[in-house]
Amino acid sequence: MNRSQQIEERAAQWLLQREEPSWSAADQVRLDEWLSESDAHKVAFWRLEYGWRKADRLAALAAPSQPAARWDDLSWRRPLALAASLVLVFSFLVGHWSSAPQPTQSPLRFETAVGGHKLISLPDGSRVELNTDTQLRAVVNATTRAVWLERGEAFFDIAKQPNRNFVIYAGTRTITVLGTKFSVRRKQSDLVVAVLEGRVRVDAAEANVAARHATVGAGDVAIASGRSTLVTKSPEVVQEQLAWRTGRLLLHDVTLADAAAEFNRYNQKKLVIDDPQIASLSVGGSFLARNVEAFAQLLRDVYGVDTRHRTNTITLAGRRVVDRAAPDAPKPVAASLRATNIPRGSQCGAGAADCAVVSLAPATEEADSRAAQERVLRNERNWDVLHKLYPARALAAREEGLVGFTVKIDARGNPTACKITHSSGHPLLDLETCQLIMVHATFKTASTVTVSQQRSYEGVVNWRLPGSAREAAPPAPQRVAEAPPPEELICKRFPQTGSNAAFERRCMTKSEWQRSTARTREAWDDAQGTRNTCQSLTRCD
Amino acid sequence: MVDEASLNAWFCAEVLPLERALTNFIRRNWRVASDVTDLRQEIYERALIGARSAIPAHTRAYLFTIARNHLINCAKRHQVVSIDLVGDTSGLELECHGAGSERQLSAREELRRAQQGIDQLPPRCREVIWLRKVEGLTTKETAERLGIGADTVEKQITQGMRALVDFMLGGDGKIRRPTFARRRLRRDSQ
Repeated sequence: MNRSQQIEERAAQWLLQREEPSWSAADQVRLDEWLSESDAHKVAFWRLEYGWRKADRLAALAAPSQPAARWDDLSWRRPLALAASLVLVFSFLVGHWSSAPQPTQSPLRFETAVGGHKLISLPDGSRVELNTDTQLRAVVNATTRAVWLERGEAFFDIAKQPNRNFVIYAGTRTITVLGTKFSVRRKQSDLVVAVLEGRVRVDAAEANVAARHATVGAGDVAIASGRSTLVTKSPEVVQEQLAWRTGRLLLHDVTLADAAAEFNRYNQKKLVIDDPQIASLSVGGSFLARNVEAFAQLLRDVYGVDTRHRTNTITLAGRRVVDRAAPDAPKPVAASLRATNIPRGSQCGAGAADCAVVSLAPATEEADSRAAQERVLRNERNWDVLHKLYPARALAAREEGLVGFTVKIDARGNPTACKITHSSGHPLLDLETCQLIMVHATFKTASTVTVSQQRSYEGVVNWRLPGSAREAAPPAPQRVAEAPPPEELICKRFPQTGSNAAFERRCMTKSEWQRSTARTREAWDDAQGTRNTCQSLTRCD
Repeated sequence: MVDEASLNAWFCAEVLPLERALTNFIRRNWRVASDVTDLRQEIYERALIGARSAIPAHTRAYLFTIARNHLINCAKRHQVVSIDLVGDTSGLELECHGAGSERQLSAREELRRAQQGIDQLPPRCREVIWLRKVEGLTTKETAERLGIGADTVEKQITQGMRALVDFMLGGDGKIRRPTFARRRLRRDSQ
């Protein structure tokens, strides 16, 4: 009963021989003959071929993860020694492989297209992650570890190897590494190095320039431009620089022109700015780099930027609402706005993609800093920030006033319900305020709040028409109507009629229970005919 | 008639991912554990013959129906029809409508699986497989590097390959060396 075993063995031999370089056309003919002999042969061969191909992924393990063991100490001919320690065998395999002298090879080339993202592992165990539109060459052998970054951006996770520096040549700079994690980006003539772990050294590549190097440590960002290299310590900026690894784009207070350039790196569909006035708008937030449509929609919804979609471009033209309708509206500084069209993720701030911090003040209309500061202080208490979103209808109807509201917030900081606590006197404006909050507002999440719990937030939006006189400071939010504190609910179980198991659960407040008891007693008394009569002799007068 | 290429594609994409479920099915319904691989091979063979006229629309149901019929036929031939054998095949329906989660492993799982598979091979075998798969050495180069004969390497690789493939398809990945009795049997028959 081992026919299948024999066939399988033969199939394995065929498969093996086919991989050999000596495989010839005659061999192929013989294999075809063998296969056509029987379906059993075919099935066995296909099965092995399929599974063997699946195991091809093993090649990805080629990175040595353990220090080199001595090859000479362990001979294959000593099976006992080998069997004694499986782990050792594994490491020596790896070790031998990494210490074996390799033929001098031509540089390996790696490339990604626009929007691409690729992870490669180099023969020495280092890993390189290529961002969009990137090209690099690598030579890694026993003596050299070098990478030429031709263009684009890459993140390096270099395996530590004493006495073998890893060198990256990027334009006018060389970066020398011993073992660390960092990213390098070539931006036209500039070079940005952001270090996540360890240290790297940035040198000028030209020979005639005086030896000038900068050491960049963890959390540092080095920007090399022309002959100067600027190193700043900023873990936040490092995080921003590395956001692309998760497909995100973290923008922190950059102009719209720069933001558009960032998006254009990742997308075939290019953002084109038609109006120089909006090019200097200040934008920030966390976006999905490949979702340029969502960004354009956000610009349209929040900024009122006119977007025109074509097959290959999205043209951003002037601003509709703001320029026309509210030129003198107060200029709030920052609001936390959620774009409804961006896929929902976790809370804002921690690199999530579902919210965008949009600073609403166009840079060109920057007021003097003192007034701005004053406004910032005020904005912390009330919701002036929504002014840029002044509902067009209310603006046309010249409605204004103070709207107080209470928002219920779920554990992720998203509003779930909104209630008006103070009316502006214009019901539609109240309604629109709530809608705006539900759509755009996002709240900081408290770590103490669990998923099932809710919080609420009370706030005030002071809608002021552009022309009207402004108060020095709007009144602080206050409770408008004081409702009596709700009574505690008391729940009781009652066995249901006709069943021994079923219970009915009734919940009422204390006063309601009292009323209910009184009613029951009255009904009982009526039935008994004992109403208003004395029941207990001892207690009766 | 279906041509060989699409037959091969169908077999690899639809039938082989079911191997784990099929093996379990045979093992549950057949008493002799050592027959399982043979039975599986025969079921595959029949499935292939049947699919040659037209690729079946529901591979899972098709394969398990063949498996059941084949087991019943074998049982009749062996005259070992037992109550539990026939009785158990009624559970087939449930099997057919299972979620089929084992159908396709994702790439990452595949790598993890391959890694486990190679890790649990015996040391020598693992070494030659590693040299072959990861470093891409030929049999001759492997033999030279390890200082052993090419035929030994070949034997090790075929064994390792079979075990690894078995593991990748959901089996236990053990190397099945012919037992002494079988070896003698084979020698006698040759």
